Amino acid sequence: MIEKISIFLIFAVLVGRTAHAYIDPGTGSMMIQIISAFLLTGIFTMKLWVKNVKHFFTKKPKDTINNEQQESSK
Amino acid sequence: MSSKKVLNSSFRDPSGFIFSENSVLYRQINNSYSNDYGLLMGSGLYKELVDKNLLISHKEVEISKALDTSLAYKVIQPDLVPFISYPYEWSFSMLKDAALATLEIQKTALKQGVILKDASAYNIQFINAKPILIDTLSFEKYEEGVPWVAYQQFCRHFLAPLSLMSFVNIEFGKLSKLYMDGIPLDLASKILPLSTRLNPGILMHVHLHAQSQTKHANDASKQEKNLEINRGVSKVGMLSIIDSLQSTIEKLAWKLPNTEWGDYYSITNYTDDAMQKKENQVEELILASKAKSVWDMGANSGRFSRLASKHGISTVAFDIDPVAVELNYLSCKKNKEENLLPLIQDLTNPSGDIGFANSERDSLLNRGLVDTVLALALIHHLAISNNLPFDKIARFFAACGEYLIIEFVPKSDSQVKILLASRKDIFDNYTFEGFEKAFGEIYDIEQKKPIQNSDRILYLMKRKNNNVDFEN
Repeated sequence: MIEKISIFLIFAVLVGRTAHAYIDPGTGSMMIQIISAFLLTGIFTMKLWVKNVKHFFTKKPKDTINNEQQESSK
Repeated sequence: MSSKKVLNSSFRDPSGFIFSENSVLYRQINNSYSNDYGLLMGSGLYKELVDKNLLISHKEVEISKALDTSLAYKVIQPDLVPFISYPYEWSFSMLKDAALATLEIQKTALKQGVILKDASAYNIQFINAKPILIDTLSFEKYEEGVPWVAYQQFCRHFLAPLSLMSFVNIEFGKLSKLYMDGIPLDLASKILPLSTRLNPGILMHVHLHAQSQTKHANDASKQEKNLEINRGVSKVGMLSIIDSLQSTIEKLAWKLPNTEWGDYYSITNYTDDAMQKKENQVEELILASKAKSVWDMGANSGRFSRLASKHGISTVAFDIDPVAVELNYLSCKKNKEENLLPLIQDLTNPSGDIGFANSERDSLLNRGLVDTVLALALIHHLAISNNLPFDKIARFFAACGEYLIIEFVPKSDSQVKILLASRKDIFDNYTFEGFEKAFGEIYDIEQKKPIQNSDRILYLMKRKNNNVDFEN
């Protein structure tokens, strides 16, 4: 019973969404996005992680200098 | 009696529409769009996109200007686009840059919890050779979980034609003339070579996408499926799809072949000095016509078009050869040029009125009138190669604009000799006298200058009649 009510509520909320989407998204296009997102998220997350790591390593020498300055001023 | 008129192509989106009144363009924003408009403006997204030159700027005007006050929330006046052009007139890199701009806008919007609700190539126009979104109402609130409703439209309008132009033939850019809402993915998938299935992006967004569309085409029972679909794509999933589309398109390239026109300026008759003199003469005539807008017909890579655009004159450079237009556009980009728009156009079959009731996308002539038409090194291609009589050519140019700067290329010229080399010379009327007589019916000849080191003559002409359309 609770399951049925919660499915109804979720559905009721979702029906109100994308109210301004006047073009037909196409069921097939929506489905393929779910599959693509599933396959691509891993690679994309890796890309971001690699970018962050690179950024971390190019920042490091500056941080070290800052630390030394702080040490010497104490 | 109101002189307000809704634009013929502005009817699909219930959020609002474009209308004109006394030659001024306005956009009515309807009540249904009030929240999303508030989000666009209030989140800082509008400012960010305008600052990056990705979205057309606008100013808000009095609501009394609305065409339909019962629906109206606001009325805005967007900046004007100097010349409206369509994706089937763009060169390869123009379509590619328009695609990448759309994705950049999408990424920027998502950071503010906003998403594009459409991704039509017709929403992009070129100003100063840069792609810019002109549909301010394309944005809506992003709901995480819901897949991108405009994904199919993006693939049809941008990815399909670009991949066809890149992997099959550049001429496929013209295919979008036949399909008002972009190229069908199953058609693109069939035409693309099998090797494109090894390209992960093309495989996913064209081939498998097409198959998925076919598979679900007749899905009637959607209720349960909707639940799953609207939870199916997380925000990071969405960003990964956008990222994939972006890198797929960035990698698409078109290797410029050697067409008969690509190497044009190195195989013509002129010495450097003579070319410089011709340029000076043409520039003088452009300024004499006091043009504020110029169409350069058969512009090749825009050498003479720039004699107008460098003076701040709004110039469109038309050429039939996609290579020439591409080179022109790449040069505009590299040198950050202004006032110049390169476009592909076949003057013997220019863009027509297409779309619903043949009135959604305008023909070339319906996007006139221009102040001055430039027709250099062109007349022999129209009159001899295309068998067009002088009077028809004159009336066509007169229907385009008021002034005409035209170069007559006589039979003694080597370029004409090439055209007549393999065919019977039936062109008895193709002489200076014949040309001046025929054009003299439609135009007043104001100036006439011989071109150094050649038998050619440059003319400045002004149209006699002010109400000219081609049929008159």
